[in-house]
Amino acid sequence: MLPPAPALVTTAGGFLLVLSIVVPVAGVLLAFALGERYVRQVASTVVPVGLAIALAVLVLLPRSDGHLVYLLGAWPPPLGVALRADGLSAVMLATTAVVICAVVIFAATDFRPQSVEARAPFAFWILLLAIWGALNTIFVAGDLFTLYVALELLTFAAVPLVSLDGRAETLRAALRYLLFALLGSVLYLMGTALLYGLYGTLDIELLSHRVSADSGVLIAAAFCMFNRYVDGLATLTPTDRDAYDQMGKRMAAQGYVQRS
Amino acid sequence: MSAVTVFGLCAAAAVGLGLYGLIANPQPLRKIIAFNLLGSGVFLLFGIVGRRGAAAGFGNDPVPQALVITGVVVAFSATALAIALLLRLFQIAGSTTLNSRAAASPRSDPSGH
Repeated sequence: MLPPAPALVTTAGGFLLVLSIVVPVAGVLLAFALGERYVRQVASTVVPVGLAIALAVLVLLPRSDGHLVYLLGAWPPPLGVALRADGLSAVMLATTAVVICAVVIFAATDFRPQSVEARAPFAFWILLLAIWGALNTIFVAGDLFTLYVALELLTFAAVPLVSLDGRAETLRAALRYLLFALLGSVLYLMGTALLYGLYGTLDIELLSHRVSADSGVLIAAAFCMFNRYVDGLATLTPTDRDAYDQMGKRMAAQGYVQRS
Repeated sequence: MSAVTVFGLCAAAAVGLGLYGLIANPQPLRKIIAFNLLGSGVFLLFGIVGRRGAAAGFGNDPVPQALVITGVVVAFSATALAIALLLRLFQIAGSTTLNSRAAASPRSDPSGH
């Protein structure tokens, strides 16, 4: 009845995909356990390790036929959950690692412990690692539900970062962003439910063998796409012109880097 | 009309009401409640999907139930985060409106108008 899908096994470098998620998450937990004094040391240890993992994925990928697969608990899909990386995932992992490294170097002076308020640097370093873990999960997720959980994790890490300095405008922007993101993600979840009802699997590769473009799939895909659409809508723009004027003067006087 | 159809219509009604409330209500707290209603509709839909997929001697497909439990946890944490942000916003700004121009006068009506 169904066209046969290729048999899946864990490839040699598959554990790297697990490490790319586990290392930032371990950093978050370790920073929580060690407290505010060691949060920067934890971040500056975890970030190079994560960069090395991303580069290792990039190097290993051509040697294992362009696909890295890790089956969690050795259960093959559709029952189990697979982590996958192809060329695009590897490039995205590496890009994210490079961007995170740049952020760490840029933010090292601004978010020194006790340089701003007490809580802000602690939250910043933890949330940065959390965002990284969520992004890596998105890039290596092999089924639609893992993708949903990873998108939610990304929202939960990004929303507190938006409101990091705790002013009313940023809190309002964060709340608006959260509401938009929640609407998008719950509709994405509905698309996921419809796809599972139609095809009995959420594994992306199995779905690609089973899906035909009938109306049900298009409705489900529309719900999934809506999520990505609304996620970009909640950015904060100042409405009065004085804010731009002030910012322009400050940038002319002090340069792009804001010293608080 | 079978039970699956009735529950399916209930799920559709919950999703529709939740979506309307989330878009049409200006107050953040009502938006959060509407999001929960919308989420409940989606979880009910998962339950129906599991019921329709019953096979091999089981009365129900277990996979959607596992997904629903994860989804409930995620929706709960999302609600907690939204409520925490809302409380913090009320403490700082004195109102919970999302409209930044209307919030120029602090300590206005806490209901969000």
